[in-house]
Amino acid sequence: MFIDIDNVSKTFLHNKTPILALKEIDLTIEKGEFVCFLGPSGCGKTTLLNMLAGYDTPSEGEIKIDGEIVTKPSIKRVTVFQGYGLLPWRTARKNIELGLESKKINKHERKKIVDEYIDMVGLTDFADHFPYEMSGGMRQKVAIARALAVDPEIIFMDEPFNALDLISRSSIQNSVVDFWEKKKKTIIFVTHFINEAIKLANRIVIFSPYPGIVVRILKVPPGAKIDDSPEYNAIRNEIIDVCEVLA
Amino acid sequence: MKKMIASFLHKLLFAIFAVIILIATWHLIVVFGGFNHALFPPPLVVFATLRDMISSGEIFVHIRISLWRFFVGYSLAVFVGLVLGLIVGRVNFLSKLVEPLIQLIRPVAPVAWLPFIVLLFGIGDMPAIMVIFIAAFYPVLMSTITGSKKVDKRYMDVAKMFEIKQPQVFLKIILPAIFPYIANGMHMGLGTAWVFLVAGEMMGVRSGLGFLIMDSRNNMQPEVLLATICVIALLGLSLDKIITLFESRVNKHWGIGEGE
Repeated sequence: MFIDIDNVSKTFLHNKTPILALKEIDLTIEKGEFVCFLGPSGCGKTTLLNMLAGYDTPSEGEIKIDGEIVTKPSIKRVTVFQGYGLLPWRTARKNIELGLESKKINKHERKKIVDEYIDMVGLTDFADHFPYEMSGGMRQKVAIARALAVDPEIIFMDEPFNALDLISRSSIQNSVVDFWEKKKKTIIFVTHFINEAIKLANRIVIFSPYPGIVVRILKVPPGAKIDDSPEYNAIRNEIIDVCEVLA
Repeated sequence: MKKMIASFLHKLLFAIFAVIILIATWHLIVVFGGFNHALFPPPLVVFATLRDMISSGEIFVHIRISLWRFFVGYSLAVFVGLVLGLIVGRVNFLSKLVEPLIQLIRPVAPVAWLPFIVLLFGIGDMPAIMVIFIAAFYPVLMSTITGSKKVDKRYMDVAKMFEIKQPQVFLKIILPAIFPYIANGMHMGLGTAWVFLVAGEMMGVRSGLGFLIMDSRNNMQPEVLLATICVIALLGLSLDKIITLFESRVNKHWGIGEGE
């Protein structure tokens, strides 16, 4: 297995009282999977993602990636943040270059890579614009291009499309699926939208809150990728059923 | 854009109107207040003096030397304040050590140091430059310290994710991230420093706008004195406008304030 989450719990202190955010999570993810963490707010899905990405550590249990315990973030495992996390003083191009600069890739090569990814997200005409000159959707695309450009093994995405309108959301979802199908990277994607999870993932992990536990893991059959197909409706109804039991 | 121009013209109209009222009031006070014109000249006399000072070129000599001292002191303050602020702001124990000292020394008015500086360095440009330096230094330092402590966690997360190492984190992330704070500190520092320019030039120098004020008092030339005050006000306003423009550009870029 590639990612191994072994009996992980996480406790936060809130006004000196410990709160159990995640309880005894066991989960393994294979290389090349597209996994969605689905659940309501407070279910600990973002907490788990932060621990996977190395921004936080489990209170109990351990997380191993490729056989090594995760202790800190790495350029091999990048995160696309909820609030984009672009540097406002850098143009789109320079933002995408940021990670490449620390990989010690030479200028000529950097330009080639940036051009490729900026084209992939359809922002070639905006390469030299600053974030403040771009819409939310465009900024998010730059953030995605920046993450992909360093050629990571794993991409973590934390509700990255929340601030987008429906049309940009749909088009950017398509680019992410295209990318995943082409490059077969491992993607872990946090969302609280059922249809987004079905559209993107090949496996959906459903979380329930207080404390955060995994209640169900579903495989998404290829047929479910088509809206309103019987498979789509079946898996959608199954998720809704799980959620209703929780409520 | 159209709206911005309209609002600018609107503001400008009010500003011009306010200045006209000020000058008119000045004139009326002098005329009806029974003041001796030789001691409190009316605006038209002062403007005539100002015109003479401009056409003779005399005023420009003083403006040039004042601006030179100002920029030396101010740039030095910005540079030192920025470097110190960055270090103190990012190193926890240093900030605990330095902040009480700042609180202790800051309330001392910059001019209070002036006689001491004159004793130490003698008369010349140095005392005026030092007073300007002290006046501009604290706002830049304080802003930079505050900014360095408040670097958005997201930016630091990005730095960690891409494994950016020191000193690159400082240069590529922290310094630009706190630019809005630095710009704000520079703005406040500029205002304070301009106020103290005049005070700084009242002792130990024989040139500059502050000297001109003292000199015209000694020579009983209130019209020169008031003309110099007009120049100081206009120059201060222009400097403030320039730095405001700079600051709002930075803020727009950094996504603060009136971005689109």
